[in-house]
Amino acid sequence: MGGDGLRKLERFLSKRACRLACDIITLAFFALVILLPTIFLFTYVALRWDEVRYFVFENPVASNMRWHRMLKAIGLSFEIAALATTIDLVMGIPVALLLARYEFRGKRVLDSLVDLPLGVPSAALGFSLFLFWGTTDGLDLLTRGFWLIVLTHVAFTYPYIVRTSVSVVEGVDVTYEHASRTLGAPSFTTFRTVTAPLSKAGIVAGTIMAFTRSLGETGATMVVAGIAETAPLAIVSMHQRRLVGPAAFLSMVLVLTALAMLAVIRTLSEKVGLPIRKVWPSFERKLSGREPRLIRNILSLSSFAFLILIPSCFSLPYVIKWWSPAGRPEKGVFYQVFTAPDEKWRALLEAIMTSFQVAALATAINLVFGLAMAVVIVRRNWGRVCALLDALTDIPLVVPTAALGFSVYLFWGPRGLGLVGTGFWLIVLTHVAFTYPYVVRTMVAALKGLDPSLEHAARTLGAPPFTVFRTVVLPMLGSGLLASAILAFTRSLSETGATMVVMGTARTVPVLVVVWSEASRQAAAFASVLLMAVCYGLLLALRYVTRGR
Amino acid sequence: MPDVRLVNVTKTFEGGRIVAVDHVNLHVRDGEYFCILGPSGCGKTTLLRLIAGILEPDEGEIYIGGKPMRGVPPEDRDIGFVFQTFALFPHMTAWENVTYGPRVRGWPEDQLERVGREMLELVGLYDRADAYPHELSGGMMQRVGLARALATGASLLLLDEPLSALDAKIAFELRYEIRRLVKALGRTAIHVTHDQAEAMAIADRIAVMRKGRILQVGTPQELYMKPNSIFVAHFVGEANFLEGFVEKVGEKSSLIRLRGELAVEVAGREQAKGQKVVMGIRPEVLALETDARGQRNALPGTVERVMFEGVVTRYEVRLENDDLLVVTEPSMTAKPFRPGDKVFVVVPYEKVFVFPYPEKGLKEELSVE
Repeated sequence: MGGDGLRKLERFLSKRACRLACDIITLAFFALVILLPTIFLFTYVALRWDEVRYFVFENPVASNMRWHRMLKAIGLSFEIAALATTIDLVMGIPVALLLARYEFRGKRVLDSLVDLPLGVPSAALGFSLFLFWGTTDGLDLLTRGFWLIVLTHVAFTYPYIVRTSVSVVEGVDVTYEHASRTLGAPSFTTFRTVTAPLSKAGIVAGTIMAFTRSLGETGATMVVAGIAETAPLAIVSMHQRRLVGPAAFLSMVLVLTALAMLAVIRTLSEKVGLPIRKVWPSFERKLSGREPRLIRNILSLSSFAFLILIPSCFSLPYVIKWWSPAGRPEKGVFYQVFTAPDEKWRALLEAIMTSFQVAALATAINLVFGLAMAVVIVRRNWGRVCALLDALTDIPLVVPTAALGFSVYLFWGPRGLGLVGTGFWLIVLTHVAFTYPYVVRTMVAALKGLDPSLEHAARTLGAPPFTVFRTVVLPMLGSGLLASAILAFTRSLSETGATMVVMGTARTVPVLVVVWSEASRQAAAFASVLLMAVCYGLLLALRYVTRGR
Repeated sequence: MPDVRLVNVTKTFEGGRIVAVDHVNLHVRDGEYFCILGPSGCGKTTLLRLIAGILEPDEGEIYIGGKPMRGVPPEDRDIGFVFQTFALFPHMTAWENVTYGPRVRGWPEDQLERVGREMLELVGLYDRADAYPHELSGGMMQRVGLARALATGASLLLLDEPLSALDAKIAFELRYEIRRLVKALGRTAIHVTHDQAEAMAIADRIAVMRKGRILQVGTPQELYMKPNSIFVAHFVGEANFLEGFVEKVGEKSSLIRLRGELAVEVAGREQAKGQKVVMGIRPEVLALETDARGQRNALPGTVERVMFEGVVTRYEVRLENDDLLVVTEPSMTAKPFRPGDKVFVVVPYEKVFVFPYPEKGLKEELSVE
């Protein structure tokens, strides 16, 4: 347990003053690096209201055309999010039920395949879908635009719906279903009147998560949008055209409408229940039969395979096919990436370095400060303050990353504090901000899961608080720490929207995918496959780690 | 009106590695209150779930009212099931829970109202009809659970440890109430429990189960008076077990030699001379005496511990051969012995069970795991 010096140090660190200092640093970090930059946007709009008004509403040339374009973009974003989550619910819940309640061959494989779109960076995913639906190498059915955007959003929000549904349905005591069955309810009636109402809150939470992710997504949407413009895309493009005021204003409107929408969903879902008192015995009995169940399972599984799984992975066969096509090697992936005069491999290598450095730094910083924050939230008896901090932590999750990146840029950049210019360090700060909630969330859950009597036992055996933390709490958090680290790392690796706003001349891999998706499909496909392999590999590692608990 | 018949029913888990129910044959008669009694993990809950159709057997067949049940889902078996954890739907009121069965069967509204009211009145909770489960006490919740299981009119009621999650006093009251209701409504009931006192108090017949097999089926009296195995003697009621061998077989009795110089004469001559045996003797049939004169089977020993337990006082007596015997006497009339007193334990000639010595040893035979 270390020498005398260590014991003295830990005793010192356990002192009230030291703990207070720790807490203050933790809170200051949260306020200065996470919260303020994330919501600085609002202040900016208020401070520069005249500029915003001039550009958005009373421009002598464009009049309020920009405002109309903004409304249109926001409307499109909501339409896509609503459509995508609805399709996800219809397709995803049968699969979730299958995973939660039945034992069958290949269940573990299906279980990890469902997560694939979660582990794959959305820009790479969008590019894969584009290759599948929109090129002659694939089906060549859709051009870039609305429906391709919807399909892409369906693909990357699917795991959110299925994952949360599986865990809430698993959380519903199966005895309730047995009770319902023995009382004469066939399986469909049982699901509708017992399982669904009991897991409603969780499924709604998953839906909200999918909805917000869809609202704020940038990378994939850019690849598949064509001329359509969603709100996050409008933010990025305004930023690129140096229209700072309007971009800030649109970000704010997007965040506010998203919040309002979520509040509406939440209250509606509480008020409106499923009609548990009505029963249609003969109809529901038919639905519960063997054939309808089989048909439903086949439909939901095949739609998963054909709408999500195969399109998401399509860049892999594409790369293999186009690696070095006979007769026209200059069209091949190998030529485009490695031997063409513009030396894309150099840019790719540099982007990989940047991506990994950013992800590693952001993860490391958040592990330290996120863990400290989780300790404050779970272990300090500050009553309401803890609950408030807990809620505030989630803010970066709600703000679409493009808007968040923009806000961070305004805060640190030349128009705010003027401390950090666009480029590597601003990317790191942005990634710290949006991965922070993931780390704190997991840590809070893990800490709450610990039996406090273990810590009490250590204290009564003579260990000061800091020693207890190091020798008892940390080892037990082990796999939770690793899990949250991997989660933050993959999220950072795959982020596009915010990065595009703050990157300056630096490039990350997802950004390269977006940039190259126009210029060189072969190179973009290669970068996608590379990124997908790394991220999905890390995700599988995450599953392995958390299962080992 | 159904009887329930199980023929060679077997259920395994984890690919056959765990045999939960092992070739069980059983016949529960129509209108009977039947208990399945066994230690936890003996397969009794699995057996009940097989009857309910929540699980399907690997082998064998279950007949309810003479009809084979293979492939029939729970909702078509016309049963009521009462759960250990109550399993009241938390998002429905007591009323909605009780009328759930009639509703999902599509009964007309007026009939549904009548049955709901009738059932809640039967369990004395009509005034709490609008309460949600979390607003009710454990005893109330299980009453609602019972009303819910009875409401569909199912003639077969399955009860899975219905009283184990309740306080002792409440469980004690409710067990008689359940039996009374089942009998009054003329239903058949199969009640699973690990509590032998509960089973003895309410069952018409009991099946004792251990390690997936049924050891003995009989009325409570039969199980208590004539256990067919060491385990049944041990699990139903209480018993001392002494090892010995048959020294002599007489016309109506046998002489069994214990360790040391002690011997006991017992009625019956089922075991052959020279065979190693285990004697089972209930503590309540033994008597403590200070004087051995005129007594048959008086074994000398020393009182080692005295435990006052209210109704009875329990004495642990170390015999001269180092065997230990537990003797209980009614507290109000017991002679006041103290640790260290020299006594004689009198073994009644006709009330000793004699079993052949088990192959795997006595300890294994008595284990309830």
